[in-house]
Amino acid sequence: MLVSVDMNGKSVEVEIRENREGLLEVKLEGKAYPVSARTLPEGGVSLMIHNESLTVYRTGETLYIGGTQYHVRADDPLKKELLQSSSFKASEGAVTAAMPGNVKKILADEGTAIEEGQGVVVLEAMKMENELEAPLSGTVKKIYVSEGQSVEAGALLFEIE
Amino acid sequence: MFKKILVANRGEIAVRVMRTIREMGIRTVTVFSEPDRVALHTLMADEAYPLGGITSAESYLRAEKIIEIARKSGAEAIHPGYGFLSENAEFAELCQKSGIVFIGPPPAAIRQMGDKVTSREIMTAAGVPVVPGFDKPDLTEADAVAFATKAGFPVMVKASAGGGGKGMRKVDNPENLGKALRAARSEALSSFGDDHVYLEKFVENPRHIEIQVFADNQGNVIYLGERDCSIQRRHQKVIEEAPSPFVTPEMRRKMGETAVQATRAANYRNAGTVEFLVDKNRNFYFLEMNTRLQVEHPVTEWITGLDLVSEQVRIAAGLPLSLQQEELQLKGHAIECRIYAEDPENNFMPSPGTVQRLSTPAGPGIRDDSGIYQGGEIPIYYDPMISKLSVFGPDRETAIRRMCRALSEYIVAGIKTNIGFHRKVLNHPEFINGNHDTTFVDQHLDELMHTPTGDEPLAIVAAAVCYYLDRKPTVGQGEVQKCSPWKHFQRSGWM
Repeated sequence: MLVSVDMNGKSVEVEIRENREGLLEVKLEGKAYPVSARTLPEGGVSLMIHNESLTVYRTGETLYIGGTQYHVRADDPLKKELLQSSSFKASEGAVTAAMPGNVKKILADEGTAIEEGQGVVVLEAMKMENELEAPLSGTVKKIYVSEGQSVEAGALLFEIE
Repeated sequence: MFKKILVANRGEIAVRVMRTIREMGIRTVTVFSEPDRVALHTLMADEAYPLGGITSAESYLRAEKIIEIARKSGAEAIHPGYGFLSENAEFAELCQKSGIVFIGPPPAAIRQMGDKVTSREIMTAAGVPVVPGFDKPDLTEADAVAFATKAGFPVMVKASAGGGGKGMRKVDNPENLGKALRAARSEALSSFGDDHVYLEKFVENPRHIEIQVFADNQGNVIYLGERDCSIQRRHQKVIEEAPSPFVTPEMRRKMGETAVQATRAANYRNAGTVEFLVDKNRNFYFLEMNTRLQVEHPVTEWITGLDLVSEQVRIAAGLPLSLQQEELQLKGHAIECRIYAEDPENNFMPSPGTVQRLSTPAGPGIRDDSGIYQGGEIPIYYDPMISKLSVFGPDRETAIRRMCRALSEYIVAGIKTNIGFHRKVLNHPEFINGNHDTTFVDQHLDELMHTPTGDEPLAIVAAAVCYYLDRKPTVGQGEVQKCSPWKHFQRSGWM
């Protein structure tokens, strides 16, 4: 099986083959790693790479190794190509919430002209205020939230065009 | 001794305080906001009372409601922890009037030390060195330029009621002074309701070193050595250690005696911390006095063998300190890492959410003061610190190695944390040599963010293998073993 793995903005291809004893042969950038793998309860996986024992844990696209988090995304290389070539793309002027929080203040009105870097929405979470700025100069097309509203991570806040 | 104490706080500090109170044979009472109905401190207390409300202002800051609960529950004393009402003189006064013991200093001491200008005046009068500064009512731009020219740039504009980096501006030349004064005043007014600002000479590349003091009602004042808190991000401490690698025994004695002098000058009782800025020539200047238990108190507990919360409770009950200065012996080295729910790669933005997986380190010389549990929520309304990991070793090098080992066992999944960031700081040569100052994180941020850990190829192999296992036909499932290494790391529970 071919797997495409993205990490730190770089993409690599990994080839995995299982032999008759159930051992995996993993090829990465010309190097071969013999791997024995066992899944553990609650998202854990025990790997033995060249007899080096490694326990990883994962949630979504985050892997935990020795207390450190790695953001890795594994996918079918063919599927990924399809996704990249499709025309769907979020608008450049759309700004979403990076984390859940409360809309503390709205600094600009819909339909008004705005400069790149000018604040539009102030989000508050965990005692910290974070001013979200217009990513480009233009007009405030739409503001999707109102003051006092709580928003989830990833929620669309406003759009500039 | 008290029979019942109310802990008016949440998170790790409420848990930590209740642990000692329980060991002392005293019943624990706590309060909780709506989102904290199943928070660790609520579950752990013997009695818990709802405050209602969601935000801090609607819940943990409601002084009268908390006092009413103390009365209703029969608690004779309130421990405020840190933050929230801990440095609120009106609250301490309200306790006094209601016949409830506030476990902390008298209201007057809180008030005086809470005002930076007043505390500077008291310290100057007591012969405690302070950073050269200038203050007068209605300070004008011309006054500021005159002082700054005499003292030398850069200078700091600071809010009298300030804290946490708010209402603070560094100014490098006379042209920017007027603007900085206006900005600091407006920020101070909106943050603290008071726009009074003053000037201070800027100490270049300072270390932040503080002295833990205790004063009882019998007139004894002692110092418990120093803590070095020079690793900071956004003016907040993230790693603390005791003793400081920068402090010589002679300097320790001098700083300690100065701190005791400051404590006496403030007419202080109970636990306090005298914070100093230390320049590269080992000159130290009074910065401020914190009138409460500090977040980083465990490092002092490690090297002194004392339980600071127990000392606080004893003093509040009218008992003398459990030891004299001459009896105090400092031993070994301790380091603390504050574990925050935050994203170091995204300007340390808070990262609230559900703790999907939690494995905490164990073994020799390790202590984890945590306020969370697996499956629990970290609400968006409060401080993002989830735990304090501290270690002890016979010397600094062993303590650093032990902390690295402990961090490698620490897994918090579902939210972002600064655990990986801590590992990088602890492995940095400048930290290992002990040459760092408060500018360390800003100076080395890029390097700390982008240095590979060396485990990256393993992460790629692991991700690919996980992907493969997810899609593999289920024939091999019989092989999956039932043993779990996570069980091995499991928390022992809080009951």
